[in-house]
Amino acid sequence: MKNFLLKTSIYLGALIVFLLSYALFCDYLFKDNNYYLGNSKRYWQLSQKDKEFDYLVLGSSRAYGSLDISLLDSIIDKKGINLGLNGSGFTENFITLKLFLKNGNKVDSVFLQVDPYSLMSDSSFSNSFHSYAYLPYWDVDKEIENVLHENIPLLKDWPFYPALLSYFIYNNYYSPYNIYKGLKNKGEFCSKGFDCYNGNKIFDTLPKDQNIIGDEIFIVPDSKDIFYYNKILDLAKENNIEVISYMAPTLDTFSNFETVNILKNISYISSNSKIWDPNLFSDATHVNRFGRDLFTIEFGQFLLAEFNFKEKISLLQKKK
Amino acid sequence: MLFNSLDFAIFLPIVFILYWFVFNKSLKGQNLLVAAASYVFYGWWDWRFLSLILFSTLIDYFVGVSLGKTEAPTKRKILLWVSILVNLGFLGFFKYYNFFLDNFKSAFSIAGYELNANSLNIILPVGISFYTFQTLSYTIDVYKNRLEPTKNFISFAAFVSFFPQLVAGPIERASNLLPQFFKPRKFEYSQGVDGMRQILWGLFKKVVIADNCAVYANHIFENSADMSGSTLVLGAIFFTFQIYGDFSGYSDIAIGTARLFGFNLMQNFAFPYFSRDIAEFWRRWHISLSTWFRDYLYIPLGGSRGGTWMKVRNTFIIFIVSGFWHGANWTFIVWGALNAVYFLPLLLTNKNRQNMEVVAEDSYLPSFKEFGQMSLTFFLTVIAWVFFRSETLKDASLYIIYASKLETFDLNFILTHSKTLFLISIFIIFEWLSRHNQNPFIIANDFLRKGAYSIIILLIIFYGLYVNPNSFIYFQF
Repeated sequence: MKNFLLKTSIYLGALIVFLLSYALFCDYLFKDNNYYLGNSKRYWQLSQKDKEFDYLVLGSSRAYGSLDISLLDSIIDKKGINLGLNGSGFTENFITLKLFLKNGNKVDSVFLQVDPYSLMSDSSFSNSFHSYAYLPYWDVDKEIENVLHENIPLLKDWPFYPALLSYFIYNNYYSPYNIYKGLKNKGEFCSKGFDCYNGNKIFDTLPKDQNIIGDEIFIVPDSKDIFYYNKILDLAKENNIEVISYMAPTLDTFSNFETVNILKNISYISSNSKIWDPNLFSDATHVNRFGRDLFTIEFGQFLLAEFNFKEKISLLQKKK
Repeated sequence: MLFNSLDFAIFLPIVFILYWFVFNKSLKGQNLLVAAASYVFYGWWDWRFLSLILFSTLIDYFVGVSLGKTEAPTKRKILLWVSILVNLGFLGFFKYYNFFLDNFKSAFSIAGYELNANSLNIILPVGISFYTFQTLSYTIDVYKNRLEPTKNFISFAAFVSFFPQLVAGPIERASNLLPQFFKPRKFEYSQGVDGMRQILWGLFKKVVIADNCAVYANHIFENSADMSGSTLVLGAIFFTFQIYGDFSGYSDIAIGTARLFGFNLMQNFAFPYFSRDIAEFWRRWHISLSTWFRDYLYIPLGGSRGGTWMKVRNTFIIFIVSGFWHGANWTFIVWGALNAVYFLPLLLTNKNRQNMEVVAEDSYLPSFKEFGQMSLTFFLTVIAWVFFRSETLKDASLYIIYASKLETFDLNFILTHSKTLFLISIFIIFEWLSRHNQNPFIIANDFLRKGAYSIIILLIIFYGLYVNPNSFIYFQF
């Protein structure tokens, strides 16, 4: 027994030393914006400091890919940033906005992407809260920790804290292949995946040549998502930020859309039938680059007509 | 509790320490700990169904004790039937009630009658098919005087609920496992090391092979109408490795865990995808279930004795029942029947026992003939798995039809699935090299063995899927 326990401990010890060294190396890479890694936009979001914008776009992949910031800037004559990120629900959106403001950034308006998927993050996304996306694990920001405490039952969130276990569990972000890709793409951080000037998504694939059909979905809002939606509104209010909600185009249909209050109050939902052309989508819930252009123009015109955005004196203009 | 969860990573060392350091002086204490730990292990999933295991344990315990007290054939037969009816009654209600009801309703509606009965929202208790068969083996063996009934309730409860193999096997025969609860157990270094090796290999099969294959197999099977022929072929192959990695991985972890506590469980898989014919495949796949059906159904039915008609009938019965054991769906029944069709020519030509030894026993590589035989068997198995995986018979048929459309084949899938194909290749190499043993770490050369450990550990760390750990497929059976 003694020999067995000794050998097992030696193996475990060696494994822990190896993993800790590897995790330190990963941390270094993740924090260095020279390397494009699968999760780079998260670190780019968190690295924004002391900047000023007229507006920012907040939401999931459907926010990330449905508004072209350069085009929208030119239509409404303002300066914006796209903080949308794949798989983000209201929980992640709240952290993003909170840390963005905490880092000394300022913004006048938030274009918040709201839709049935973000109200059902448990079923829409692979994880209800992407805790693993917030590396490094041994230096967790207080804001993220607070959300973890509010959000995840005690037994579920414990692996987040021992850094080693977290790296082990959420290893998809630090697999050797991912790290190899990151090293290979050194210096290409701003030309792959997204534009690190304004957060615009860079589409690298052409629209798919296939018939895309949406599903019919029954919406069952999750109380957790509603809670963080309201927290975003409260946070914006505290900071005098105007929130304009919008819904990105989708080919899915929703049988009980009108019965959900938050959805009924969305500021902008496209009524243009051209936007529901499957040729403008890369899959049922995401527009392709042509769909994005059309939707951005539409949304820009809506902002001009309903919110008189061109005439609006922004933070930046006040400064000038 | 899942083997591939952190909960189990904490649970196992705690039970191990209590077992060998606190209760090591008392066999009764160790058995009590095993029973208690097993109930915690099972209750972690859903404590409400603990009462079901307890009830089943009590029934079979008292049936066993009563069988030991009486020689009267009629009374013994009644006792046996009590056990069979209670155990199969539970299984039938939880697993098959809705299936029979729906099929009766369909049959009656065809005849012009409408049955007014509603399906029930029944949750299938995890592992019910496994522990039901295990306890049945006990009462049948006691009834046939092949085993002495036990009066020790704690040991019997520990045998029924033994946590390493409670929810997905191997389905142990009472004659093998139960006596081990009565022998004093001493920790042996070689057994402990062997257990750890088996756990490591099982974990690799589950979190690296099965779970990575599952990502694509699930996507491809759920969207099969939109996929090209080559992608569908790949989806079926991914599922073939998923189910093997998943189920044999579970069995390996179960066997390894049991060894850490001084128990020996039967081997459940013996490299089935290297089989040269379907008969060999079934000697190497889910061995504990195949032999259970052989001993408790096939042989009592007459086995291969009697005329050709009897052989054919018994073969179909055993394969269809085996399919039905997996689930209440026609897809499983057709899967079983298809395997019977594959098996029958071998049986009728007396070639079903021609490949008894390990393939390429004395060489590094198989001969061309062996390679061809293995490929054909693998191909037949993949087709059968399509039925097993599909939701309906129509889905399965369409899947095979679409997959046969050669004009839609392309080679892009090699690039898009290169990571999973790479992992499968490593898996096949390790399996091939270790086909004479139960795991690939039985290597005399110290350097090579540690190299093998390192490769597998690194693959588990970097390519294992842990976020929202996938349940084991066989939990649903």
